[in-house]
Amino acid sequence: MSLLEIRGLSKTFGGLRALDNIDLAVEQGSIHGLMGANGAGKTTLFSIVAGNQRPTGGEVRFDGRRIDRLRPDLICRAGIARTFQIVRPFPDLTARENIETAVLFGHAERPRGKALRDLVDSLLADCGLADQAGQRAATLTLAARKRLEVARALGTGPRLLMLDEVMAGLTPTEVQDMIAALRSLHRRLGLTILIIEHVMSALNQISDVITVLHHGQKIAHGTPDIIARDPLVQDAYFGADNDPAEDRE
Amino acid sequence: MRNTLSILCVTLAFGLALYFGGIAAGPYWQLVALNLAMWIALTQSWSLFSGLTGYVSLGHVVAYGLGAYTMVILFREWPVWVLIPIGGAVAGLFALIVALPVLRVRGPYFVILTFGLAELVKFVLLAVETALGQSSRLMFGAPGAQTLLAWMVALAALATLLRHFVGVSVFGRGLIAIREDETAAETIGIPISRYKALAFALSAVIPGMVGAVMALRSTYFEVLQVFSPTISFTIVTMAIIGGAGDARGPVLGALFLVALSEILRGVSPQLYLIFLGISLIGFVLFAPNGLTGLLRRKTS
Repeated sequence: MSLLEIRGLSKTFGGLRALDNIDLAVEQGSIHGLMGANGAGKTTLFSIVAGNQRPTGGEVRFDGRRIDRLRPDLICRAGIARTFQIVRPFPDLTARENIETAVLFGHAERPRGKALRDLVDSLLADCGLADQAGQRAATLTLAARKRLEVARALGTGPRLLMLDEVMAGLTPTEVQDMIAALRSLHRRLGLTILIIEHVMSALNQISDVITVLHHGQKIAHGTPDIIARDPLVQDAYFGADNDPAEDRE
Repeated sequence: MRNTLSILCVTLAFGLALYFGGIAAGPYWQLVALNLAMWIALTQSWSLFSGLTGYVSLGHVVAYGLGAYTMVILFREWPVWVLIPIGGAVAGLFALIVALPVLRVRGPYFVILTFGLAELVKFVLLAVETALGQSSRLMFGAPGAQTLLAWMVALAALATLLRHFVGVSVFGRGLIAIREDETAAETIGIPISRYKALAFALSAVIPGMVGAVMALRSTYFEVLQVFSPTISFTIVTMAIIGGAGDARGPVLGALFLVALSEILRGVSPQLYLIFLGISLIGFVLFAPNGLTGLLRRKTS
């Protein structure tokens, strides 16, 4: 069974259809890429799944249970975590406190004492933040804040982790580090990952399957090499010569 | 654990010093001690909500006023030691009821809304009192000044401990996360609406009790005076000057302003207000984390 199942999902902002009747199934244990140009609706989809926004229509099921009317905190405790494209760590708290807060609130059963400390320590180490644990989040570099964003999401103990462009703005070396870290976490924690990325090579490297959105519609779905050859995707991405609007002229 | 013990000891020592010092030093100092304890209790309570969540309330006088009003209208029916907690409960309950609509707005809108709400409550009660033919109320047979000082010091200590222990609790961490980033906070599992409402209500309880005690102190109740917005402004000013980051700030802020007012009021009341304005501007510009922020910078 799919861990996350989205059926007929729509979201309109005024006259704009940000998402138009989207179907999407994320299989348990997979790394599922979500691709699309700016404004394709990727982040809106994340926000709806995480409960930050309400859909206009359609439904979202997590582990068979409907979640599209739940509050974000309840969705989080059910086992879904997300990061934000524009990172939003708690600026005045240290890296350690950021992760600790997620651990304290994200779990159905709250870890305490040594269990809490150990969990936070291991997340700091996993995300390469052990040396910056005592630093205020506001003073960290962008790369470190992106890792903190991932660590804090992981702190809630999710089964489904939704990553929103965690590699954008990183140097090629940092991108490779992030891919290695995500792969190892995926394996070790048995996570299911839904990932939005503009860095296409990174997405191709890491994803089992990729879904492509364009202007709020799903235009392709398949393994990375199928997606790379898909004519619709090439049109959407490279503004191909055979733009239907141009043909009409 | 050591921290817990030291905060308990310091609070107890400070409370006892305030009480016995005030009594020993004569009626004038007793009044100053009562004032100081009152402002500490009010500012700690305010800081419990506004300091932790970052929602700046300009309406805390409502809690104070409702506590006083409860005391005044039930003074002859029930013993005062019952009415003080009832005053706190009335204020807390009122805060809980208004929390749901009020806490939907943030930032400057929240500030204006709480201020407006306080004014609304004031004028509604004024209308009620006028309709009842009560322009002001008097109380006879209130407890003596020493008893009132003891209660007020106890409330100040209670407010200080409450502020401290909430601040270091998991609940407090949730409130701090709300202050830092509300959307991120709810996305990592914090029930933000419930937390804000609970903190708002909790921060009104002690001011309600303070209002009840102060009604006994003045033995006189007049809506415009008890619900004066100056009380809300003074609380915020003390919190800014002292710093709202922990339980020391409100104590320092209250000490600073009470001392300033006692020293300068004798010279000239206008001078006090001028100094008040200058110090407020100075702190906002140069020491936004207040006196505790300055202390921290010195020690680190």
